[in-house]
Amino acid sequence: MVYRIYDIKSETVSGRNTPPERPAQAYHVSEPPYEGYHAVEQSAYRNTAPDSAIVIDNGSYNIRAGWQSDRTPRLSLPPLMARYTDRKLNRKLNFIGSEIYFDGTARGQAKNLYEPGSNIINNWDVLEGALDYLFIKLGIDGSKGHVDRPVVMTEPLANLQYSKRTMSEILFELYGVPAAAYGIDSLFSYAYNGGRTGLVVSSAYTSTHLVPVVDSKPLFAQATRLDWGRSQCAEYLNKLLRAKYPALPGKINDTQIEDLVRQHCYVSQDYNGEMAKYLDWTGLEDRDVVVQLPFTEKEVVQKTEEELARAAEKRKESGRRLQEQAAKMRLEKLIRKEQELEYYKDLQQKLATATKKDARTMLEAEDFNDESHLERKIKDMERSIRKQRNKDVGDIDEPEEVPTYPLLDIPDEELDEEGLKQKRQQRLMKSNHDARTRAKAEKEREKARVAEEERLDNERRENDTEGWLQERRIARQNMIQRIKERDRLKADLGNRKSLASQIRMKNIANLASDNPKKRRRGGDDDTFGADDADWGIYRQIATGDQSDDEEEEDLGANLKNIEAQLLKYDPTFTEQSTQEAQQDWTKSVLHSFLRGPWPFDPESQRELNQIHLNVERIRVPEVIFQPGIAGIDQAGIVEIAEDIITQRLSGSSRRDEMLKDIFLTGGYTHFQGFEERLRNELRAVLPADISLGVRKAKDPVLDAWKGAAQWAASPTSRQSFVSRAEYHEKGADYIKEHNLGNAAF
Amino acid sequence: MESEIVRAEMLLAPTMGFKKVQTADKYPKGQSRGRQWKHLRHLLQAADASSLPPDRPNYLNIQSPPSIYPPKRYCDVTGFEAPYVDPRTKLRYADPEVFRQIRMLPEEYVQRYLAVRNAAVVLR
Repeated sequence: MVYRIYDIKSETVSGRNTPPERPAQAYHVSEPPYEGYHAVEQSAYRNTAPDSAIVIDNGSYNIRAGWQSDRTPRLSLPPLMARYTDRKLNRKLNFIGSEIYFDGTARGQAKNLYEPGSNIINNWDVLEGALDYLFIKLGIDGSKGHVDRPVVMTEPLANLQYSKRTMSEILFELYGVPAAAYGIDSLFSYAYNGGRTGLVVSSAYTSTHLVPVVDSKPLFAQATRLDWGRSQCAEYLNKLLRAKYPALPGKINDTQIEDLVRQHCYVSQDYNGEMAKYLDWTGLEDRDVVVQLPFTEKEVVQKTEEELARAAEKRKESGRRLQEQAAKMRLEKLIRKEQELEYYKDLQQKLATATKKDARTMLEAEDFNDESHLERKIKDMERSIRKQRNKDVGDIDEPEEVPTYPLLDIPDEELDEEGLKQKRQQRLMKSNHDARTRAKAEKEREKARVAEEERLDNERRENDTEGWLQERRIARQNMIQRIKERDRLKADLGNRKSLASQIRMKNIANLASDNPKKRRRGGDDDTFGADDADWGIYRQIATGDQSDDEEEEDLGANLKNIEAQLLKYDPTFTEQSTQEAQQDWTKSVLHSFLRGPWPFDPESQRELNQIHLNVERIRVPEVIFQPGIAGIDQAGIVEIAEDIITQRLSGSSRRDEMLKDIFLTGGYTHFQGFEERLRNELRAVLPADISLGVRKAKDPVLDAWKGAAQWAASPTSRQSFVSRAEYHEKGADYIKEHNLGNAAF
Repeated sequence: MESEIVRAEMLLAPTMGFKKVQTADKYPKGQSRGRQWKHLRHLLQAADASSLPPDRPNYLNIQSPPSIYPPKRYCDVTGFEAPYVDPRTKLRYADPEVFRQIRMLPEEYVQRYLAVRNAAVVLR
């Protein structure tokens, strides 16, 4: 990305924003830790009844497992596995869950159990690895030759038939469990929180579900899924940051992004209102989160005072030498030109006296068409000489007395070889001196002219201040306009399709062609160059630095000049109105967006490796309310709820009862402000006379597991388990319906 | 490192007593595994939504439909509510400063911004 880096001036100018103190501590991204060895606990396995079930909440963020009698899950692991043969050890290694954070190789090899961005299992090897791990850690020793405990497992709402079948195959045929049952995580959580009739809003890691429940029975026909969860948030933030900082040297990995989402994002109560003010200067330091990525500071070689002074002296010396040389060159060029001019003038005088025929031959010998051509040439040369005289031609203070050149007056015949040499030198010195004196005089005249102009200008100002100011203002506007046009032309030339580029291409093609087309009327003979303006074409087609011709005025300097005058004499023109102040970085939205309210030093590795989270903090979680902003072509969570309540269940007698218990569960509801926002938005779309109750699960993350354990321990649940005998008899598609599980087909 | 791996039981156990088929038997040495599980896209194709009863919920038909409200437009760079679209890059913007910026962006970065809202040109 190209962005302008503004100079930071130390002077305090009225109207400038003052950058606040830098935050004492930037946020550092961190890796999830390797949790170390998890001990096998056999006591529960040995001490529980043989029909005590193993409960597994098969979540896409974490798999949680334990015994039905446990209060909280014993094990919790991300659904990841890495398995590879270490060549050094020559052993097959196997990392499950957070063990993959043990080292970099394991991390890189890790595979996810789920299809990315969905709640559907697609790597059954990982599932097998995870189940092996869970059963071992729960103390099943394999002395029975199979897993001799029933299993209760969660699955997604309206799970795919294929996934369900494969899971049953694995549980019954690979592990040989005596019985198994499946249920839906959000319904377990709702039941655990005592819900009977209500709308379950479960926003989890990979998806968001809304399920109306009446008398503990889910109404699946009205259930709706939105494909957005915390993992999609992380992906979205990642995309945003890669677009925001395309040149970021470091890399942020997925877990770190997830950490940023969890730590710093929140749901805005008034998205559009808050967004519009998010980058305002006031209080930006509180809204802007600085995240420091690891970096190594470039080593700066500290030079001693003496060394610096020496280097500066050396630089100055060589600069001076260069200047001297340049001045000498200019002087020589000037002399040459003056001599040429003299020659032409001489020619002109001769022409005046010569016959017509002679004059013609003379002109042709010098490549002139006619006399006016010669005149033009002389005029041009005079102008250019005048201009050159105003430049530095190395006129150091010369001795006052005029040097004498005695040899010049003596004819060549009277001189010997040595004398001739000296004469030549003296002639050169004389012309040098003369050129300098003429240059000096020209400069004096120029100075006088400028002084006179200034005097007139001052006079005008004193006599007609308003008119003068008006003139200046217009001049300033024109200058700004010209700068803009120049910039636009530059930008346009970067685009091959722009008009400016097309014209340039045409010009180049025309110049290169053997018989260039004449756009202007006129004869066929090529007169290119007859008019000085013809050469301007080369200035037009040149791009980049070459186009900065010496003729081009310094627009920026001119603008500054005019602004300085206005500042001095126009009471309405303040520091704030200058162009520079308006381009001040503290006023730049983009600067605030990229770098917060602090100056940015592109040399500092520390600052180059910083990212600033500001608008993203509300932009990311907002997607669940407006999926369109992330390009998801689905209705938002409030629209879905509204549709279920006011359309699809409008005839239901239990609707009002349902609205009294809108139940939130899942990790997404942990975002600060989520519950409040949902309540307010629902309130706004529902009829005013309906009373609305919104509540959040006691523990939105763990209650699904707890509900499943509670259900497994309840005496009535056992009739919903499918036994191994039933599996073999009725096939893998056979399930028993119950209130907390999916419906059978 | 080895001792820690052994202590933490991160070596793949050759046999597990509670399994009927051991992993090593499932994938005999020297045989390439390949990929044997279908992606969600293929699973959904195989499930063939049209053959499922429309009145019963399935994975496809519980997906929420597109919104019936006109979507709000936000600046692709800053996220502000954006009334303008740059006809050249198709990026939305709200601020002249941002406009100047997006006009200077190379095509690759423009596509990156568009990809954030799934509007990028995808070449296949």
